[in-house]
Amino acid sequence: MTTAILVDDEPNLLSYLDLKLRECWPELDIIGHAANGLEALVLVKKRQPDIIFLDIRMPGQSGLVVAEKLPKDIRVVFVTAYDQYAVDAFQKAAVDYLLKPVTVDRLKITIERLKAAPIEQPSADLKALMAAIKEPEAFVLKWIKAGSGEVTELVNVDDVVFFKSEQKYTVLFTKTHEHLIRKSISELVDELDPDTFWQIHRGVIVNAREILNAKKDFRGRYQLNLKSRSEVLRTSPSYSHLFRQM
Amino acid sequence: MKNIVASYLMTSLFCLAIAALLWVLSGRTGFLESASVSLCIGLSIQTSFLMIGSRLEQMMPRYLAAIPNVVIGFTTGLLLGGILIRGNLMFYFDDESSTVVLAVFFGVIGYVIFRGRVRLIDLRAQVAEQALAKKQQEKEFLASQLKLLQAQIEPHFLFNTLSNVVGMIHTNPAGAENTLINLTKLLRSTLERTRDGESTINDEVTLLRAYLDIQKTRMQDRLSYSINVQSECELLTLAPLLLQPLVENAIIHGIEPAESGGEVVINILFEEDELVMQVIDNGVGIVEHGPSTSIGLENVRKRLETLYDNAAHLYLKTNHPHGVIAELRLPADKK
Repeated sequence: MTTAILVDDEPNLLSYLDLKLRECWPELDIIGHAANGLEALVLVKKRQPDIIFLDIRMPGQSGLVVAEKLPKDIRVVFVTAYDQYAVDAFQKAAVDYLLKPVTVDRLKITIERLKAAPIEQPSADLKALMAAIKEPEAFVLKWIKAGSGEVTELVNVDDVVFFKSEQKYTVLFTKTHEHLIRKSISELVDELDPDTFWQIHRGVIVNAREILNAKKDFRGRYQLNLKSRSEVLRTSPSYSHLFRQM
Repeated sequence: MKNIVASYLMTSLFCLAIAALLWVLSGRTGFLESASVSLCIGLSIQTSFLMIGSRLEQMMPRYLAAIPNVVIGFTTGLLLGGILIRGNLMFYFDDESSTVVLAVFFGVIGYVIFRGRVRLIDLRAQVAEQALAKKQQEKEFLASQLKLLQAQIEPHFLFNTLSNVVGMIHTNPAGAENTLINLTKLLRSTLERTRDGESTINDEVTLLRAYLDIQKTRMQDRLSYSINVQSECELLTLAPLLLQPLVENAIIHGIEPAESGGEVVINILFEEDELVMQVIDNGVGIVEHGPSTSIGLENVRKRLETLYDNAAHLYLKTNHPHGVIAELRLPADKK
């Protein structure tokens, strides 16, 4: 008898899939449910099912990560909420997938496929699928922890007007506040998005969107006025090229 | 560069005009000599302004800064003129035709006109910049209103909710019914608030409960929440849908990714003259290098800026041992 386990973090969706599968495929033996990736892997090891119905977006490990760790002889059917990109990726990778909420008509097609080729597993396409579905990972700094102790304030980098090094520390200036932070100017230069944050001096990084205007003095340096702070920032000669065309 | 050339040309024209005037009025010296001396002085003053003008202005008030410039400029100009035209450095300081006095007189007039023109150009640029900034702000406000609407009716949320309703319809009809009622409540009040532009704390709490109950239907035991409102705050009016994006963030980026789930606590209270609204979660917390997921926050911030100028603040802090505290502070007397 063909066995299956169902994995979804949302109980209502899990029980609904269970109900519809039993209706459409009475011979299928549903031997267990799991609510996240970790539970699913434990259950697979214990019960060794033929088929796994696997939700993609789950807390902890995503369904795609779980699928990679499964034994090759298990047939995977991905279950996912609406997502146009995901659907395209599934079709390209030729894997089985169901959209939530699962409809009986669509479920029947999947069941026919599973019955026809019970151990066909296009696992080679999984990596491409992951690359297509995974949100593009952003390595740029988005949040900066300011202050110390148990509770630190989180400052979104978009709210930063400029950073300035002051002796051992770096001071972060937002429109209304100033914070001491631990990251140095050189660390920030490496981690911030270079299109938005410009180093204009050895000890100063400015948010380019916050520059009101740049005035050149006779020595070729620029004085920057800011949109929302009264400080005037000076560029050092080696960074002046940033403003030539402004 | 273009500006500098233009201003030298202007100065030269001005000097030639003075020379012509002097030539006609006095008739003592030839036009060529008048013009040469005048140009020497004018261009020297102009050069002095360019080289040390802005420095002097940092050291002393603008009207005082002009004096050393003019003195240096016309001294240099007269010396230059003397040596070039008469072959005698001191010629124009010694002559009886009071060239020095005339030079000072016209130097000052020239400066005043020159300075006035620069100020006018600066002012015009400033006015244009301000107008542009205001226009930009209005545009951003409209865009943020639109985004707000879209955020409420976010397709993922709708699909998830409807999937759950379908999932419950046979096994838990009462749950399905409740969820649909909550969804209706949420959609209706969102549309109404966005249209009216104003809301009360009570309205907002009703909306938050509808939202949280829907999320609780999805996540069940993984989500718990509590809302604590100081009774004095209940009828206070405020801009609508400021809290909802914060609660949504707490769920989507805090509780949902946590395997064991978590709790959301909402506190609304007066603190001195401020209305304080906190959304506290003990979820996975914010990752410093996380993806840019702050569209909701950005929206709240933009609206705070437009609605309350700089009197309202949104703070984000780390919660201990994990999770995020979002705190919104509004001036209590306004709105």
